[in-house]
Amino acid sequence: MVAMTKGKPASFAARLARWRLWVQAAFLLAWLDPLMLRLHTVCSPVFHCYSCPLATFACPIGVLAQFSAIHFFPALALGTLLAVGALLGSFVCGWVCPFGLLQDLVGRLPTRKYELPGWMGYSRYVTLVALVLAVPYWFGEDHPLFFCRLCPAAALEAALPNTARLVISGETVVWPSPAKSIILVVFAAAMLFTWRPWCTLFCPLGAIYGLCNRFSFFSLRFRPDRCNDCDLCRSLCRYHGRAQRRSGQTQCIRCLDCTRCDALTLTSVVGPLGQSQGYPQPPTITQDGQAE
Amino acid sequence: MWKPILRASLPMVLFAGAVGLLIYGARFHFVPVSHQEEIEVSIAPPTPFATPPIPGQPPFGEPGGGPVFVDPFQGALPPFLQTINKKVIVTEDESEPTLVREVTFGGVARLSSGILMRTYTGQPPSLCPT
Repeated sequence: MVAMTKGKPASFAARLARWRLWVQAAFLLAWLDPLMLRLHTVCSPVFHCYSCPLATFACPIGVLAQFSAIHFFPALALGTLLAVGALLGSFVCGWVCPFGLLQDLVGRLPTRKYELPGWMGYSRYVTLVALVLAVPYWFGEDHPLFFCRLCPAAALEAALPNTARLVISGETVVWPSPAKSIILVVFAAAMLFTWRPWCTLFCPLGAIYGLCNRFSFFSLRFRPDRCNDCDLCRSLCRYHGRAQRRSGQTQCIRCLDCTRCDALTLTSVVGPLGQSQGYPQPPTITQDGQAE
Repeated sequence: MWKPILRASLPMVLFAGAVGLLIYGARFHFVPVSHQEEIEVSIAPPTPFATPPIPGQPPFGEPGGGPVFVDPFQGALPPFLQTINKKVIVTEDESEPTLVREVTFGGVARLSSGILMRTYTGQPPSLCPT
């Protein structure tokens, strides 16, 4: 399998993929409000709690849930998600989201990683419909299953820093809710043993962007003419997208790791991105597993 | 032939729709939000009046008549108006961006009557209720 990539010029997408961690870190700076702008009238396209003392924008999922609770149509949040989703799909998850970056960093610790079954990805839609939309609509924001009351990102980014601030300043301490804290601990532990457990299992934002993967402006394209069933693309994928050889895979976070395989290319609806590398016919794998 | 065109037009149509939603939300989407406001109400003293004479009776102030009415201000304006603080419910249309900011700290709640009510007066709370 190594023979397929060795000695060849890397594709545009594969070269881009090397910069992913740096891009994520740069975006993290933007979300952490270095200029103290507090633009909370604007929704960000990522999963970052607006109650974080360092949040530049409002969390779109929090706004969806809160607007559902007050029975008001969220035109701004929906417009933001649709605009970003139509352009990028789940590139946002792989390249921009701060909670995704955290999971990537924890996942780099050398522990054994287990794969979650693919069907578990559907639980994200249950989270989106039930906890973000239905429970707030029918029971309001006081219900214990209101999404923000369970969100691990809110526990990490808002509850813990705010509690620490209250302790340091000597004010009356408001402790984070036990449910939220337990969920955070469980997911922090799960990050050690599987790649991006939150994104795979429960992220409602990933569910929306995953749906947008089917029609986004930029996408991954599978080239059957370059595939020789070597399974390199599947072995390169860490994030449960499992390089299903379809451009609209809903669980893919578009980290572009799989583009090291020639059969997967980064494209837009108007044509492929980057110059064609003029790949020759891919090597075939012999029966003893050697590349020719 | 139609598949590539459809593939190319779908994200553009969705993107245009999303931009339309953003413009609608930012410029034209308003919602009435009520809030309790403390206002100062001026209470003017009652204006002096003279009781009309009763037919067949001597007028007030004369022997056999009623008490003499004395105007404390002698027809002039009272020296000051008494004011009290009164709580009233004021309803104002708020734009969606403002509402987005309000919900980030739990500043708006929906009452069982369906009215949106601001949950604070004065300075907004610093912590989200969840």
